Amino acid sequence: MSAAPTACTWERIRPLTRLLAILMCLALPAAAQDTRGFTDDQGREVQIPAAPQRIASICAEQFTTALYELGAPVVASSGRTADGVNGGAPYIRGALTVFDLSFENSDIAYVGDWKEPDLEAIAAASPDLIVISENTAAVLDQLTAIAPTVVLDYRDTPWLDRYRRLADAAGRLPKFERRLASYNRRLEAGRIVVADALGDPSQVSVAIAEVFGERFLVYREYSALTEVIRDLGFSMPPMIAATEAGFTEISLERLPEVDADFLIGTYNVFFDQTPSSQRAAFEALLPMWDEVLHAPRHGQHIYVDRNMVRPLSFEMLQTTLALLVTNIAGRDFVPLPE
Amino acid sequence: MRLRLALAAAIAAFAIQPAAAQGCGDGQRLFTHDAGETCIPADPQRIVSFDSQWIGAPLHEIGAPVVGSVGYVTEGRNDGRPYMRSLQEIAGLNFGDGGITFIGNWRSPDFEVIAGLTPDLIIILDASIDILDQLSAIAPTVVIAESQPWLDTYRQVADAAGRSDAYEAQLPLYQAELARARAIAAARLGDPANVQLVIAVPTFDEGLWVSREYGAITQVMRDLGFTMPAAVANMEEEWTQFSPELVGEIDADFMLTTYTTFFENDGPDDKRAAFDAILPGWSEFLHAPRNNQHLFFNRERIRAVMFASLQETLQVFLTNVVTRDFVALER
Repeated sequence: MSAAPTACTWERIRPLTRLLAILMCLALPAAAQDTRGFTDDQGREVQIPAAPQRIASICAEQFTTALYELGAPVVASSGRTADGVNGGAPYIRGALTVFDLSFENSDIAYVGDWKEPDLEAIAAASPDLIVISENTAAVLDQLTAIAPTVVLDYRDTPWLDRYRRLADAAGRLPKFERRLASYNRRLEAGRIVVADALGDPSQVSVAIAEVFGERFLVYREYSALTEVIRDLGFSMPPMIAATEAGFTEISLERLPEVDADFLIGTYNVFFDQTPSSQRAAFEALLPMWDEVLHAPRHGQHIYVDRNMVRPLSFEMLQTTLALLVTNIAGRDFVPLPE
Repeated sequence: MRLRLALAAAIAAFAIQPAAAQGCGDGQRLFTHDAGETCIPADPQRIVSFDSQWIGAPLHEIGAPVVGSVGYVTEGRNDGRPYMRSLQEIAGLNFGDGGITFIGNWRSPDFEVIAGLTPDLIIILDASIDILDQLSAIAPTVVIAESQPWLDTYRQVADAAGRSDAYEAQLPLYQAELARARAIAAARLGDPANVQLVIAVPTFDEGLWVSREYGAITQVMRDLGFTMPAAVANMEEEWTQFSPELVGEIDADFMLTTYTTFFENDGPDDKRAAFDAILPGWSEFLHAPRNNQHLFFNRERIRAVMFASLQETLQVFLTNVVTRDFVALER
């Protein structure tokens, strides 16, 4: 980047201030190059700008959304395409549904899918920092040739830690802390209600499980859902709490171990999934599931819109808090027998 | 109340008639509100707000320049310093932040402080109509009706602040979410009009209050196409006391009660205790509580007129009413 700031355009500066202007112009590139060490989630020590000005994000839902929420300068983002979403044109998953942010209504350049980022387009956006998830690590070397690149885990790291790491890399920790304080105030109100309605929240168990075709998955980490479940003090069935990965496929014989007071599943109309189709998937794989499992038997199977709980955003964390408080503490339920 | 309001409105309208007849000055425009027409700045720069939930919250969300606001002082809360209800809880906004000055309680505002702020626009609720003349002597003052559909309140406040564009800019996001929600509701419920909800708030001293208009709750209920029992939908006033003998008329698939952690002893369990006191056996003879379909919502959130509240309320309804199985009331 060689473009000089307009404030340093020589003709516009009075003679008496020329010396000062020279000093400023000399100082600017030096200031822009202020860097610091950042250890990413692959343990790599990367020299990144202290205050990044042009960030490329290769994970729209998890990174672009959060960076936008923090007011970080995103110049490029990966995108996704799906029939019926944004007219089939690439969209910024998460940020579109949370903030109505699109490639069309912003200056953010589309740089391909996260699976196959367009390296030329990324280079053309002249980023000073590139943020990718482990899913894109195959092209790490090529990206590093363009700009300092950090790899952040998005699947197994708890929501808040993940968001803090990203905010740190983007030089936006103060804004992150302000949003966190706001969430904590509302969490406190939620905890009062939970204590009032349930006493000890750890006596209430919540399981997150999904059926995808032949696969039955349970989740120890599910973005805002598990952050709020933990923050409110609810428990998970021990089998799920003990799983190593963020989510795990389990065999159908272990179904009874998944049983809990509440069962949570997700759907996404963008991918033609509705609560009905998700229930049908359960039915196809596990006939009588809603008789065998306690939660569905008692109308305690909650379905949430994935677009509301997955994007990394305090907006969605607060929505998730509201829907868990109203569903679990804000109405009576039938407890799972001991 | 209505007569007094109409009278005050008539006086106010009369008082401002000459100005209106002459047309508004440079940079001013004629604004129609609940108490008539007033010349206000086209682009207000120093706004005073007379309610943090209905006026201050939307002004904050659309980024309008607020210089003064009413507030509460409660012992043991915020270290005894004044605070803005809901705005402090939701947005972390306190007096002093962004230059917002405390102008007293809405019932007893400090006119000298307000005048000292040299506002160019004052926005009040109809509850403050009695002081309209005094405020109008300080700056153009517009009146917002508290009891009206939620989005109408927002639209009106944004319009007064000269920020209709900021309001309009946020609407498509809510409408997109609403469209997704409606598709889910149609698939799950068929005709959502068959699902009835009633908003009932019990009090120890005044019995059972039922509401026809309640902030974001009723906005979202209507937007999703749910209905209320006829006895509620046909109520003349927004809030009506129901005698225990008539409680059968408000039985519905779901019952909604609001609580707050803002006041002491006003949580869900306190509300249940109030039901026990005024309607013994209520949780057995009313359909919704009998089937665990009695929902409790935090009032602080749904009373703040912000798109953030609307969006959250939509998800709360979706997950509680649409996507969870429920036992329908036989009608």
